[in-house]
Amino acid sequence: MDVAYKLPNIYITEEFPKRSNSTGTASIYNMYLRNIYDWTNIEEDIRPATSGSAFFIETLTRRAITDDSSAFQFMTRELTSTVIRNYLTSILEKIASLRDEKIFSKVAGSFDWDSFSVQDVINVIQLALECGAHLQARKLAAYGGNRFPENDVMQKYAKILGPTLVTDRNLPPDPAATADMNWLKNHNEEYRGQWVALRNGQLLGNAETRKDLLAQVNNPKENRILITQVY
Amino acid sequence: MLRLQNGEPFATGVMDYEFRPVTPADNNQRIILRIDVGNIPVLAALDTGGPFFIVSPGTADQLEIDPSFILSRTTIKIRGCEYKGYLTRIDIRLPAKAGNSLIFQPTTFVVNADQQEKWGDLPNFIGIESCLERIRFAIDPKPDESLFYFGDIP
Repeated sequence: MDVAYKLPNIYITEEFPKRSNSTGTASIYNMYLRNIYDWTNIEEDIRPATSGSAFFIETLTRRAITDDSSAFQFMTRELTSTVIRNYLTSILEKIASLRDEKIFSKVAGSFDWDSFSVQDVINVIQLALECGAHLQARKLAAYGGNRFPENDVMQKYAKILGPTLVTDRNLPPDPAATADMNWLKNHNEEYRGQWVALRNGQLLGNAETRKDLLAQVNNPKENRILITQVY
Repeated sequence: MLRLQNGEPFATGVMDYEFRPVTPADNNQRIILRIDVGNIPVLAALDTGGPFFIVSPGTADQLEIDPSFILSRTTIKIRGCEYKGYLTRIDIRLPAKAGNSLIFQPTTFVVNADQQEKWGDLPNFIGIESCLERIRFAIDPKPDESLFYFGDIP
């Protein structure tokens, strides 16, 4: 299904772009304006706006989602007002609500984030995580971590979503873990479906449910007891 | 232990693994490792298509996480389902049968304890993205002694 078809109407009241403001912007605007008029297959719920700017933005959005992500690059490079930023963020919210991680990543990946605030970036990281766009969340967290070194919340996102760290590589072997695994391999048929408590390869208890087992076992966390179901 | 052609160590530790479905309803066999999350011994399934280290609600019940080092509680889509929980970093220890044990800190999603019913009897999961992505590993699927080799990238 075409995702753009599912996007609700979003009304923009700000008049933009004003063709007389900038020659460069005007020429790009005209280029896209022609594309708008060439556009013959606009779904009914992408309402042609009375405001030319709203129609312009909606059409760019549609192009970005369907076949031309450079449209978003243009928008975020040229359109830096709060209204536009809010509009772009709201588009990501809508896409995230559809739980479409591929479209989300495509659209978010085409944004130029330099004009967005730290809170915008954090909000979009959250949206990315919620819709399953984990890689996009990590990219944005790394970007935000570099761009906002003074922001503690952003730094926390960058650290938690950053690369895996190896903190200790020279620890001794652990025979207890091997013994637990050996017990499971040797007794899986006998205890299949049961919950068991193991320590150093010794069975400390078994039960039908995890809850019943925990009632039998003394402080499994402190005593480093493996609680698991047998298959 | 395993070495690259140039003599550099590839794996510095090795441990046993089980190869079986993670639940009776699972149709796929998976690599199951006996590891430590924080200081808690658990079983975890290798999920090469998944992100993060995923802590099951049962394990989450036993963990003590520094509340200042978690991201805001959220819903995350994992394996096609949405679960409530939070992201943090936790020490994961790969206990060696021979060679050196290794501790690493991946991005970790802790599924809320109140999601237990939805989570069912799934175990913890070791993903690749943001988890094993910086760990070298190899398996020896010998039937009677299946081995999981691991090591750090220098």
